[in-house]
Amino acid sequence: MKKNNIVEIVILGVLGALVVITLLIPQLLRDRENGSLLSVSVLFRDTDSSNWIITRQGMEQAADELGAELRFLNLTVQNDSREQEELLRRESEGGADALVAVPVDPESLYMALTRLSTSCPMVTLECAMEGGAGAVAPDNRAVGQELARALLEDWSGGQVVLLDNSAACPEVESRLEAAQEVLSQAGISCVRLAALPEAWADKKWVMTFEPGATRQAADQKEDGYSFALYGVGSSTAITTSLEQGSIAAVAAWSDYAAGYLAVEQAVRAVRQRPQDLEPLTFSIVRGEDIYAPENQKLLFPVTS
Amino acid sequence: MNFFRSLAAQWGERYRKMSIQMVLSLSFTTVAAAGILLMGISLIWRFSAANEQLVAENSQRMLAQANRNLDSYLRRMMRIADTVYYRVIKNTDLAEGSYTDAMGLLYEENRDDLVSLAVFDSEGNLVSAVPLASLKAKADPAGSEWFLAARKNMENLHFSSPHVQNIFDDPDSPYRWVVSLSHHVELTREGVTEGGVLLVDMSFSGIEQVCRDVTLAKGGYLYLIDGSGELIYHPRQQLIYAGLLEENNKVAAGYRDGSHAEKFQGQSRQVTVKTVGYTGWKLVGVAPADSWLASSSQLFLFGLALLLFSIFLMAFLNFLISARISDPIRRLERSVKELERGLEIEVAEGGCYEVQQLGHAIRSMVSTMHHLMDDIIQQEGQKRRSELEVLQSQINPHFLYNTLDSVIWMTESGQQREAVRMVTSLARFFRISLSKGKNMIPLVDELEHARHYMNIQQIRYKNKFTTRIETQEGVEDLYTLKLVVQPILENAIYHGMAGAEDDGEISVIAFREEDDLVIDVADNGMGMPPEVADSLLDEDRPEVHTAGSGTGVRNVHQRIRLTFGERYGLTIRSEPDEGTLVRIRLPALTREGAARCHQGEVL
Amino acid sequence: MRPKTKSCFSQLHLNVLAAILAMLLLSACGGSGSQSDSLRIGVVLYAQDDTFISSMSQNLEQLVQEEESRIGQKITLFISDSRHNQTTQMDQVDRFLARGCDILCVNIVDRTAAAVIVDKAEAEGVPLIFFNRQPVDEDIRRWNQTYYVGASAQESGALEGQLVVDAWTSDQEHWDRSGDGVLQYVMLEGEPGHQDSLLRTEYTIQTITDGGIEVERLARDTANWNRAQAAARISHWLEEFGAQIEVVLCNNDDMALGAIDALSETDRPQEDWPLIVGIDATAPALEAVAAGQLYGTVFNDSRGQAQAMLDLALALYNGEDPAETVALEDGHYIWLPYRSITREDLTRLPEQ
Repeated sequence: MKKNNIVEIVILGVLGALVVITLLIPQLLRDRENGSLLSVSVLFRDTDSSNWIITRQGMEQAADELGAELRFLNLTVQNDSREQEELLRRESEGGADALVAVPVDPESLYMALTRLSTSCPMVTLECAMEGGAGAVAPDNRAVGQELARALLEDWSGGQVVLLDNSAACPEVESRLEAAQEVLSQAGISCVRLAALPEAWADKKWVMTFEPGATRQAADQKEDGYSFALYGVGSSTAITTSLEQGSIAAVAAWSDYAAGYLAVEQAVRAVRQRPQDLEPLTFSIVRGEDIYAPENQKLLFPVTS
Repeated sequence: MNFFRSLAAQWGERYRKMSIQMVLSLSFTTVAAAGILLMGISLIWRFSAANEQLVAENSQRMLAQANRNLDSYLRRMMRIADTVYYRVIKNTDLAEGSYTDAMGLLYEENRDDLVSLAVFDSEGNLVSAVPLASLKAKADPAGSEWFLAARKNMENLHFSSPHVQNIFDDPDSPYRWVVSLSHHVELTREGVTEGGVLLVDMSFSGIEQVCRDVTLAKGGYLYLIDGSGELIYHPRQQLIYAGLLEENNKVAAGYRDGSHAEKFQGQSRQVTVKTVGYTGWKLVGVAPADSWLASSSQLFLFGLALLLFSIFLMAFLNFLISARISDPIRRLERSVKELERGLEIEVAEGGCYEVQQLGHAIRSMVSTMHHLMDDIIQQEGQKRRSELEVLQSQINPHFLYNTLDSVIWMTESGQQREAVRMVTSLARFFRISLSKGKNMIPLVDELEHARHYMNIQQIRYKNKFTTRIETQEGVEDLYTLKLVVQPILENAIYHGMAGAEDDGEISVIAFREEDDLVIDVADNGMGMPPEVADSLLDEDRPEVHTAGSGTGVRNVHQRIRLTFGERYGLTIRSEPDEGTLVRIRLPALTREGAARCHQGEVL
Repeated sequence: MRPKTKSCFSQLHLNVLAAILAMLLLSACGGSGSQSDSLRIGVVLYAQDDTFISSMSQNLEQLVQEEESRIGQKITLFISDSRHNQTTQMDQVDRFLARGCDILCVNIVDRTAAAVIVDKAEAEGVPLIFFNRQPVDEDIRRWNQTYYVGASAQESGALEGQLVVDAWTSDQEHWDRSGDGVLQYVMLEGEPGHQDSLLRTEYTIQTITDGGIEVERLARDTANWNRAQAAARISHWLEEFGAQIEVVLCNNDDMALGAIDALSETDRPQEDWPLIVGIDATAPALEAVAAGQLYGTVFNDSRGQAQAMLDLALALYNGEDPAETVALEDGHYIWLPYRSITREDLTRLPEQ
């Protein structure tokens, strides 16, 4: 008698529990879908994000698809590492689930990250950061090497100026060193300068390793300097200069892809295990090739 | 294998041992659950089949709709081209006027869909363009794909693949992706016609709008490719261009119109293709095959919940019903069990009609049984009593015959006094024997009876032996079954004394041993071997009707045990040439006890 | 009796179970919502490639960041670009409303479509702030939680006209190249239908004529706020009218810069250029002012407008009466002042 009742109650209980579970699962799923839009904060290192418009579009696309909300944060002073760390602290305290950063100084940013009371995965753009949840960047050494090889093809004698603004952009260092190695091996003398010099005796070749510097150099060239410029970047301004011949060749990769991958990685770091990221593929684009179909797709975002 | 067999056997055993309620409820529930599940599965199957078809139909319908819209959009573009050509270019001599105003009007009218309108001469020089713009220094219209295509097929309108518009100078406006519509035109300059090319750059937004408004099944989307499979529109075009995503567009270019199933990147999906007229473009609708389950997983789960809930309800009802059926049966079973144990109990009646009837039947059966049992008990008692009576009566004729024989003999030999004594004793003997039909008599009477008997026998055996009858203190008031001592004495005389010398002695001693009354009858006669003594009381011993075969002794033994139980009766100790001691053990009954016992016996 | 009570007990159990299940079945049909403590502002821009709009969105971002650290209120800004497409904009508005934005700021593409957006916002109860592109008054008044933040187009037109009047009266010999005392001008207008292009055109001319100057319009056309179109237009007119053009009136700075582009391509020396005025005071325009190419522009205070929008949004979010924190006109409008800027004023403009 007693046993029968227990069996019955167990069976009914199990059935009831199954009903409840099947009813609750959609509820839980819905809660997860709606309730938890991940909040991802994006820390730039510029005072405005006009250099990062395409990157932002990629990020927004990823956020849209993966259920995240983005907060874009700029610095009040360009490349202010302290301010970036302060922003990092504020965002993590403000409840950011993940961070995407273009680090001013990866090491000190990492130190700031470790000082946080809460753990917050951080994906970096442009350069790798130790302890980060991943870096979305091309292989910086390969960028330097390929760009130097592009220069080698055109080289007709003279010294090469390597514009070194690595103080502002940490990824420049490895690109520059790689380029320097390639050039030295080819027996070309090169000089590192922080800014373009006033005197232009025999310096007909200039290499820049960062979009901002590339654009600046291109502008200077338009102002009357004459030199062949090899740079980095894919913004509209740079492609315009490339088309007009102010820039001989650029190493370009898709900012859109970078933004997308960064947010995707950040979301993945929160929701699942972060995957190891492949370095972004980049290509060397010369001025005359910019309208090749593949380069069109790379350089020009589809905005209707 | 063995394990399974033993498991099956175990379950079979368990099933056989299961209660009726369990069997009912479990089998009902199992059948109901199986039925509901089967129904659910067949419903799901039917539904998904129907849904798949619905998705295909829906895709085709939406695609047809998109196709119509795209067609009308393209037609509008072609009409713009035609209008520019036939209304503007053909009617205007370049030497006298320009196309700009009329083209500007058309451009303003279709500003949302157009990026630019331009006319080039056969060398690729810009003749006119709206919005007003100049050519880039490095622009090479004559080398462009659209220019060459227009020159090649003069009679046709040509739609290019998407490309970045690269010929107009625009200092701040970004590079825009366009689809170029080009057409060979005849320009008139000072009355002379020459070849030229009309370029209509369509913005993506027009095409995007046509395609984006199409809503396919959840998770599905639509993309547009040209004849060679080059993407024109894709909802995630930028991702594809950035190399983060791939689309099966090259393969889709080879599909014929209609629905196809394909597997792309490990995902099976349904692809519907529709070719757009004139351009050779293809609209491709993609619906993931798992979209139904994935998109309506909520619905599916809800259905599952309903299914489970109905099983739950069925089980619930089954348990109630089976409990209702089996509870009365179980109560009945318990009543019967208790009856078995001999308890007097009211048999439960209740439940369904059949069970009620069953209960009723059992109840009447039980009462019949009770009646029968009472009858049997009564009959048994009667039988016993009559048996006893027979046993008692067995004593008398033999003895009476001998005694009367002796009296006759004494009278004849003139021993008047002895004869009188003998007859007196006989009279006393019989009076006590009768005792008004009572079975239980005072011990005193019983011993008196024995004494009279011995008197008679002493006379008969000419005082060959002496008799001693003693009673201890405290036994005088006790009662005993009547006629228990006399057969022992008879036995002692026949077996112990008959062949003995003159100095035979028989003693009867009554004493109390705790709650028992013990009467020892001892003689110093021949005695017997212990085996014989033991067999004397054996009920199963074949009846041997010889004189003094001990029938009397055994009768006494049986009577005592029948009356008082197994504890009581006779014990015989004997040694050859030593004598015999017969001990009669009886309960020590007072007057009341004797009366009760008498009553009980009658019952 | 014991078994009876036992089975009653189990039935009670079953009933309770069934009741719980039924309740769950019913409750499963209901939904649940989520709330966060941050102020969420959705901003829909008509086109990010418009210089003024993009500077405004950047100002807004910057101000939000500053405001966040100042008052400690977390503010999340969602900005989307409608890319000149009203249909896209409607989708974006829907998405922001669905996402649970607390405040919606709309830089409407087609100002005649405002009623639909107002209705959507009202249905969701989300306060609506239009900016830069002004819907008609009837649409703004459709719902009392609708606001407009912008600068008065009339004022900008009047200021632009005043710039011309000042220049003309101060140095008539220089500017009146034909010497006929009549101001010959060409007019580059913004997008057709935009209230700014209509009103700026209207009030610029009106102010000039009110200033007692006789004018003659040589040509007018729309260049859609666009620099390249303006350049093409002007070079066309330069061919047509040559030195006849004494003043180039532009509805905004981008078009003024286009005019400068066109003039730079000619071999005309800069001192022979016509008087060019624009509106908005964008960064490149101010450079042009500094270089003397552009005579003057009217400062359209994008930062001020952004600040006003943010203040209004915060007041609405905190449930305060917006009239107390911002200067509300007619209960719906916040007008920010324009300022005219010439080369002399440049040193005094702190923001740029």
